[in-house]
Amino acid sequence: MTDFMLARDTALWILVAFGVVWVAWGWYLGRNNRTIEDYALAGRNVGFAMATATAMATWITSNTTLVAPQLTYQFGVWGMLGYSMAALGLILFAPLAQRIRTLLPDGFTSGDFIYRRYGRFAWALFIVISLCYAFGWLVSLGMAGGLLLSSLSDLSYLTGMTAILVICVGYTLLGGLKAVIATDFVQSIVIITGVVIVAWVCIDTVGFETMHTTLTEQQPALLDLLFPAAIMFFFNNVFFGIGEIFHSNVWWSRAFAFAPGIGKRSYLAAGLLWLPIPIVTGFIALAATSLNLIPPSADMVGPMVAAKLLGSIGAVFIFVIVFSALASSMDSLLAATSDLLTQDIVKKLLRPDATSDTLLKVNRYIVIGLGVGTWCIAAFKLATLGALLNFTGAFVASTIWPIVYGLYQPKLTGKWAGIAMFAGTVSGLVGYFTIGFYVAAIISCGVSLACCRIGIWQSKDMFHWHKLEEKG
Amino acid sequence: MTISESALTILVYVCLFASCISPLLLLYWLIRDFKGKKLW
Repeated sequence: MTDFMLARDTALWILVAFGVVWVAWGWYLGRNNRTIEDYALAGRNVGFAMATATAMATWITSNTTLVAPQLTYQFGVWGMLGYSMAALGLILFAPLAQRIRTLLPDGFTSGDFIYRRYGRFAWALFIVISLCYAFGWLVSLGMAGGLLLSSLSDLSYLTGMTAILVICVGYTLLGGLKAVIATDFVQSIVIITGVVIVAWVCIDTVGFETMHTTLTEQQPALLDLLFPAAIMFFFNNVFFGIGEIFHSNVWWSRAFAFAPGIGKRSYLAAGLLWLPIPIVTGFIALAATSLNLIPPSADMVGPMVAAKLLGSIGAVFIFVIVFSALASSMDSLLAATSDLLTQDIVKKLLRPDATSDTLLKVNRYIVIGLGVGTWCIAAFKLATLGALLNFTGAFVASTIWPIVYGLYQPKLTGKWAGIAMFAGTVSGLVGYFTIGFYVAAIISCGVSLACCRIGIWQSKDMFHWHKLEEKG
Repeated sequence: MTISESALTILVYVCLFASCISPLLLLYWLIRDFKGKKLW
């Protein structure tokens, strides 16, 4: 244990305090949830401030606070710039959010849209991709929880991962989307304030001159603007970010939950406010060399630099920031994935006649099940955070064009949308294993686009938009 | 070709400034929505 690590008892007390406050608040917010719409979509009337904060906080994940410094440490300047490009996903989703709310006023999930627009074949593929991504992200968040505690305190990986999962499952279970959104607001304020303070201390302690000089002498590649793998990563991350947001029910459920007219403005504002954050969190990794830090694994560089800069009191500070970042994404993912399983698997396939009360109960059981499932997989600690996250890039990028064309181009049929998703995913995975993780999303997106264009070119069918309003 | 020290400084300071404004904007919008009863 180093001198900047939290004592075991301090870390446990912070977790208990957070757990009690968040779960109690979740219960308070969820006490009036009567229907599945109240629970899963916060009554479909979320205002602009809450909407913007939740979109922003959800996109600021443990990956922003841990992986942005990791990528900067590996790819230098392009690493942090590339990560910040994920903001384009939020910005480009803004007009889609408005169209989704207009075309499907009674919709619940992204699966609802794919089912009504493209039919069963494309829907089945889409659900598989969505669930693979959701579990990948959930496991990545669970692992980040474990890594956080084991890097900043002498608690074990397993204890940290378990604590964060139990807290998030607790308040999501009791409060539904309303609890998720309200806690996201507080968490977004905590996270941004925290990363600004860490960055400020880094500039004040190390300084740009020392940082730049040390890197020029010892690791010039990190300052190189023509670093080929890093440039590839930059563009890959653009498509990965767009794919993640366009397909994921985390963002679709919010589009359904925001009050009419709010979605477009809030996603745009959230994207613009999110854009600088990965640069602020990532650049501190450039100070690692100047501080003579050698992290045991690349994804530990952020917490190590921050804890080194801020000392023993700072360890508490960093702990709270990363915990908030983890919780703000994990709760959203738990809520959105449980909605997807409830609406798309239980309601569409198993119990089409289920009442709102039954679905509400099922949704809550699924939240618990997701927590248990995530714990079981994350306990194995399969890969580094970045590798696990980027593995899902091949899956999600294949859905970008079927979603965009599905919302705006009536000529694309379900058959070709399904082919686009399948061919895109397979080719992206081939790229992932033969070239590297930094090309998976680009290849997947390109192949999927080609398939969609062929489908539109040879199609003679025209989809009628009013069919989206028919309950499937 | 490497990024110069001044370019790195400007990039980080601009992002830091933008990040400072974010919490203030969110709080302003929250108060506005609360007063207009448009929170939920």
